[in-house]
Amino acid sequence: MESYALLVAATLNAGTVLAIAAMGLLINEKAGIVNSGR
Amino acid sequence: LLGVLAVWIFLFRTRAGFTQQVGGLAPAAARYAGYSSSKALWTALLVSGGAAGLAGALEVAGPIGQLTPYVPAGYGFAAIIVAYVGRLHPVGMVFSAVLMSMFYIGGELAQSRMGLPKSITGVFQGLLLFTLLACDTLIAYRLRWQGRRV
Repeated sequence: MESYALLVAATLNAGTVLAIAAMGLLINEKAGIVNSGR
Repeated sequence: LLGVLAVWIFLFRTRAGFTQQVGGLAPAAARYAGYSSSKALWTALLVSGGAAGLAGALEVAGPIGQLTPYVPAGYGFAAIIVAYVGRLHPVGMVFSAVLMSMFYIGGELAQSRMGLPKSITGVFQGLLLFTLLACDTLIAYRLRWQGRRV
């Protein structure tokens, strides 16, 4: 059970940084500064 | 989650977000409507720069624990995959960020327990992105095979 808790904690820890970085990319994509195909 | 909510409200419930989207989708229409393209550009650059700085600060303050010249780079490329897997929507990107972080952690576990190289994570991420983009292309365009004319 403890290993699952560690897994979830590590997932959220790494996912937060990725989500925030992706938010910046999303705003750039919506504004047309970056246009990667869609 | 508060950041996601803030981005969602900014993009879909404010005039500035609407201006951003119009400027991105149809620059000529945005100019005709009187929206300032330079203002939208600077807003996007400042907000995304702030988001990148916040992500770096969280990485330094959390997993690394100290500010060193060797802060691991490469989150920008992973963020591209997160954004596309999340279908360019703030809520979808939360789930795709969790998926991508599971890839990272699974890659580290595979490295330590099975002796696989860590780059296998990048291979899976690339496969995910290319498969997704291929699906998008095949949904939007139909392939038509033509026989060779003699």
